[in-house]
Amino acid sequence: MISQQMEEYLEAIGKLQERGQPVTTSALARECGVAAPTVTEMLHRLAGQGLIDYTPRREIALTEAGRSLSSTVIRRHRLWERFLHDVLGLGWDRVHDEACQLEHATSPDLERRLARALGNAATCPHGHAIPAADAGAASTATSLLSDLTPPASARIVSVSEEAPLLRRLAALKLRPGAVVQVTANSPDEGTVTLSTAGVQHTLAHGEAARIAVAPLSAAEERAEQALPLAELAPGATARICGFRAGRGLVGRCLALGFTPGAEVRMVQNAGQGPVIVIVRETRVALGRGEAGRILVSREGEDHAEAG
Amino acid sequence: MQRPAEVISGAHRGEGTAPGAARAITVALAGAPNVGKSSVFNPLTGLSQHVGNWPGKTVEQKAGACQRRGRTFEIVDLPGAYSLTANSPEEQVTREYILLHRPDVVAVIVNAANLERTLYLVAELLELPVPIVVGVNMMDVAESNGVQVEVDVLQAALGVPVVGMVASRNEGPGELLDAVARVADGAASYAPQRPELGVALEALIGRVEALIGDAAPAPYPRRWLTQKLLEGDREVAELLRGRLRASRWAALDAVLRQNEDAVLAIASARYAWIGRMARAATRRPRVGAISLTERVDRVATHPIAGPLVLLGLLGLTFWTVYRLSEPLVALLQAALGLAGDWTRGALAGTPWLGGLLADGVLGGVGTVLSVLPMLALFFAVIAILEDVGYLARGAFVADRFMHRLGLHGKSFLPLFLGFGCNVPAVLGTRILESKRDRLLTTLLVPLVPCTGRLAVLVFMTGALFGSRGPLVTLGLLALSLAVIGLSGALLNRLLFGGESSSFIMELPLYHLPNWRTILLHTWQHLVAFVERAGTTILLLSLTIWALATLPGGGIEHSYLAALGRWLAPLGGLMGLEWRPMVALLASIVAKEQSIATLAVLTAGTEGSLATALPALLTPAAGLAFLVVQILFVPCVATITAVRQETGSWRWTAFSIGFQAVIAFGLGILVYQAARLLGLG
Repeated sequence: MISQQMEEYLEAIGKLQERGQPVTTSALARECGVAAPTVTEMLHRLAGQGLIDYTPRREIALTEAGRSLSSTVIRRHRLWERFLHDVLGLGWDRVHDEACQLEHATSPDLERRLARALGNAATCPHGHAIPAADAGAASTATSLLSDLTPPASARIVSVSEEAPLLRRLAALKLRPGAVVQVTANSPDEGTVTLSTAGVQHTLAHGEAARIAVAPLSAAEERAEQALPLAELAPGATARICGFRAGRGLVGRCLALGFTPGAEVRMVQNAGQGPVIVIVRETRVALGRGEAGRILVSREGEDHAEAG
Repeated sequence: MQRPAEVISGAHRGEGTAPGAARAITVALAGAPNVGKSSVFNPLTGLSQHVGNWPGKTVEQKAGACQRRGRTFEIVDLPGAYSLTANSPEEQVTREYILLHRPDVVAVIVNAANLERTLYLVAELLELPVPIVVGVNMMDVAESNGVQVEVDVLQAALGVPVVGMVASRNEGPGELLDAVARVADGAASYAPQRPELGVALEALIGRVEALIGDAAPAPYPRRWLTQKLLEGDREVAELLRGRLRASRWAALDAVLRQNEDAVLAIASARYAWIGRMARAATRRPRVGAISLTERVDRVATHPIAGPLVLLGLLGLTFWTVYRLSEPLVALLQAALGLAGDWTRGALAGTPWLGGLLADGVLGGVGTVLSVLPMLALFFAVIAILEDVGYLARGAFVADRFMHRLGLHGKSFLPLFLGFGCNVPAVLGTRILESKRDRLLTTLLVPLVPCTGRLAVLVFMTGALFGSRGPLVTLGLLALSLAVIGLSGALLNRLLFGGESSSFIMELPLYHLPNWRTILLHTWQHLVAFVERAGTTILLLSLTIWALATLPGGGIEHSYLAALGRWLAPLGGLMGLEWRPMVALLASIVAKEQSIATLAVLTAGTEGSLATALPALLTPAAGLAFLVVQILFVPCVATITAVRQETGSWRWTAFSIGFQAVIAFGLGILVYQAARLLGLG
């Protein structure tokens, strides 16, 4: 019989592995917030059930059965977090504790229905991947924000689930998916300076160490190097990569064919006043202000149209 | 048969249809702007058209009926819409009509020369539970641009009937109706393809649809509501917020906020799907040919040549209008003079009746009617410029200047229309998307010298300044343009804190004008003007005549004279005695009326008004009179239009007060300056 406590340990081991951290007794003790001897005792029980390979003072590994169980618990935990956050509107700093209770009381059928109702969501609100029902946790090539050497751009993949940190990050709009530019990183001073969406923030080194980031994809890299359409020279061709505009203008642009990936050619740009571009074989006149709010990238030749 | 107006204003189609007869087919004509929709609608419906307003919206509503092969088609011309998201009132009207009134068939017109972009609306319509037929118009324009559209391929790809058209030569509208009838009767194979949006989006749509559940209100398809929600459509969001439990809405809102970029993904996916269709259905035998449009635009939108072209075209427009209308106007005026003399002679026994008819009726309405040739030409020239595709270039060229006034380049169109008549110009502000642009333009339009004012201006400068008349006219026009410019900048700063508006508009391909559309357009606007002139102006003319005649004992002792004398102190500052003041007052009802009033007021003196004028006004006073004339409230019809477009009496009162201050202020200034220069 697998107890709730045993599930907690399997979950913790799975999470440590996911982060690429060594699974040791002391790491587990930190993760579960208990003393090392307590961990050792539990590890013996788990090994006895054939869920882990455990040799004292060596790294702990999950067996096939252990991995499956661990990923199921993690999956249920993160599905609940998504549900609590998306459907019930709980703050992302509160969902972890609630999900810790609910994950153990979830039947396979409930788990399936939950996943379906959430449209098979891919991540939890903190950005951690929800393992697929029949596989181990997917590991992505990530590094820690605190390890980046400036200047560097990266996208936040996931953040550690500690309520105070989550509250602080939410206030700074540093959520999974956000692109950040690290401008300074000084372990001596214990700070990491970064900017996101044009706003600069300073994080404690310890906070940055709890944020996992991934390098930008080629497309994101280009978006980072985007220039406003208004700065495109006459005769030049580029691809739309985004907008810096409100819903209304974006809607009008989209309907006229200015969609991400679409090619635009600058026909007339006198350096002041409105411009004329060709998009989808239509000549469109844009005010200079509007043309400044459409972002294009010139190195877009290999960027296939979305869809 | 129903009157076309009832097709729309009636609660639901089908009511009032004669039993037994084959039911009339209701067709909604939809399409993006610049696809030549009106050249499809006009030949089909001709003079059966009814033009009005969509209920509660400042968008023109056109409906008409036609017969073909023994069937009656009731056609509703929907306004031009790029998409079905509520970005503009046109798009709101289009989707509301289609979803709430459920026409039998929606005929969507696309532009062969712009297939991808104009098919976007088709991709949206395919999501709605309404049968559609696609008309590919402007096949000739496409071919001259080196593009051939294969209609059969498009039909197979979309799964709905597709008809190739050259509506400007009346090729295709009939066949379009045949296809509509086949679909309405269920005789055509109809298996519409739904745009594929890709796995990720479909999963997201499924997720949102599950949250909406069965809360989707009756005529709206859930999938459509879902897409609009993800596209950030506020109207749909409000609709659902009211129908969902608070907790369910919160969940939905959270999903929407997480997927704010879905709006980009959906549009991209639709365009990707359309791109596949369009690529399959088009062939380009002549790749890289420099199109006519490109060559013309090198001049028409050039930073230096462009404004010159615009000014040249404006000048040509006015020259054409005056040159061609002059003989007709002279003829009409001569005929009216003769009719007046004859009336007075025939009714010599009862002089009061002769006076009423000759001076009140003929003198008033006749003066206005003599403006008609000019107005007709004006409407026609503007319709030609629009149909050819130039007006959009004009807006582009003008944007650089309009921008300085805090105005949208498109504001140029209504302001330009204002030279014809302020009323259609105020109504024309509805082409502007933002409320702010509409309001600012609406406040400026009444300062534009319309044909009514120009007629007075040309007539009076001719009478007062002889051979130097045209020069004075030009000077006064320049003054009014300067006033418009300064007022724009001032009002923008005072009312809107100096922010500027967003400018994004399509420049259509140049093509030959469709004469039928232009004639019909001109005719409709003329009729509207005559209806106005025939009622309000006749009434005023009679009122003025009555005021000038009653209580008897000659005009010097009339009520009107009393009013004019009461305003004498104000007039004195401008060198105006009571009669010109009365004429200015009368011109509030209709600008042309100032001449008519002066004619009535000077009827006692010998000779025509032209010879009586110099005795009435010194050159300096004449200038002041014309300044007030050209800047003061144009007419009651314009006031009515301003009230209608702003939806507020406060803004209307502001508009009138603003003009009064400017007009009388500048009038006094000009008079005093002219006297100092020795023109008194």
